[in-house]
Amino acid sequence: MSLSSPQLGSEARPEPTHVLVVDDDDSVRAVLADVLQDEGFEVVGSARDGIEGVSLALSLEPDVVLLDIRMPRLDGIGAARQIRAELPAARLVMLSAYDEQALRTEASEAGASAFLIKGCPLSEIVCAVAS
Amino acid sequence: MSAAPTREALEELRLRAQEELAAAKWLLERKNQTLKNLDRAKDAFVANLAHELRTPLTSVVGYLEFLQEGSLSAEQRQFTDAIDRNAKHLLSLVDDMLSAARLQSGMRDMLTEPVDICALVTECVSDARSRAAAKQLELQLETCGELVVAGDPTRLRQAVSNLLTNGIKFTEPGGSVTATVRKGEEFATIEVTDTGVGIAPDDLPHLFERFYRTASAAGVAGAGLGLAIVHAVVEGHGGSIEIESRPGRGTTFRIDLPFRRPANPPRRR
Repeated sequence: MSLSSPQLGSEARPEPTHVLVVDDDDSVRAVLADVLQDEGFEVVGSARDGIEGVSLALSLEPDVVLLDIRMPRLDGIGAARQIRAELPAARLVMLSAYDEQALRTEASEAGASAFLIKGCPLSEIVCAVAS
Repeated sequence: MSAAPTREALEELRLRAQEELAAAKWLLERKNQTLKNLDRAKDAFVANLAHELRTPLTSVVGYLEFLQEGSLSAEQRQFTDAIDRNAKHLLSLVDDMLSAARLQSGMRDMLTEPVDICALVTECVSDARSRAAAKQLELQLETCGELVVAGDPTRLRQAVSNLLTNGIKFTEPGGSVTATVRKGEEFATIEVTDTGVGIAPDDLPHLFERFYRTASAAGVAGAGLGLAIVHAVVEGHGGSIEIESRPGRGTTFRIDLPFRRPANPPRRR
């Protein structure tokens, strides 16, 4: 048997997208993690504020960070700037309960690739994380 | 006296409420999805179970027929008749379970072909005669010559049979069950009227729900699927069904089937 032969049951599967969820609301973190896991993403961690989010992002190096904007200690915009500086490949998806143009602009300038309004259909979150 | 809340405090409250509302909306969407998944899993389970039960039951009924053809003592015949009755009852329950599970697919696999409703109802009444006679009920038929609708004959036969079975089940000996077919301008109307126990007003809104059993159905065999099947079949044909009932006096089920079946009949909600 050649060394390069694939072993039984070890067919190459695409590596799941690693996601970090950052939100100060326990139930939001739970529901987002739940729906993302169901859709085949791997939620590698969750954080309750911007500082914890930055710290986890740097240690876990996720592919995508879902970031709430309004959080204690360090908000999502501040966290996004720090993560973007250290992990330029990570995609940042911002979540906000308020649809304000100023916030959208700030999020975009901080490096966010998507800005979603909380309460939108969960399928939109899935699409934003996948794309 | 407490100070009035500051504008900033009010804004903070508004923002927090907005966040909580958004979170609640997501949770609700998720719970809703979970319930839908559970409902689908339950339907698949019921369909599989019914299918698994049907095979051995068919075998029981088949071998029993061989036994009954042989020479049996009076007592043995009594026993085999009882087994036959109960096995067939089980089989009809299993068939109802299968039909109800199929209904969840929105009757997607229904046929559309010309069906003579008069002939179909006549056949159903003929099939029900022995059951009506066994209960000393008068079974009447009032029908016209020919009335063709576009539909699925098997499903329509099942719907009419279920209404007749229902009428027979819930009517005391000496009463009557009447099936009527009438031609309207746009609809073929089928009515099944009985002089039975009737339906309490509180039960009426729930009558077509799967597994719903009225208080008056206690002690009467059934799984609460027959009328749910009727409702789904009628809706699948773009028709409507109405009930008139007076407790203690009897019930009329009226089905209106359009002569032309709509391209997209409404799905059962």
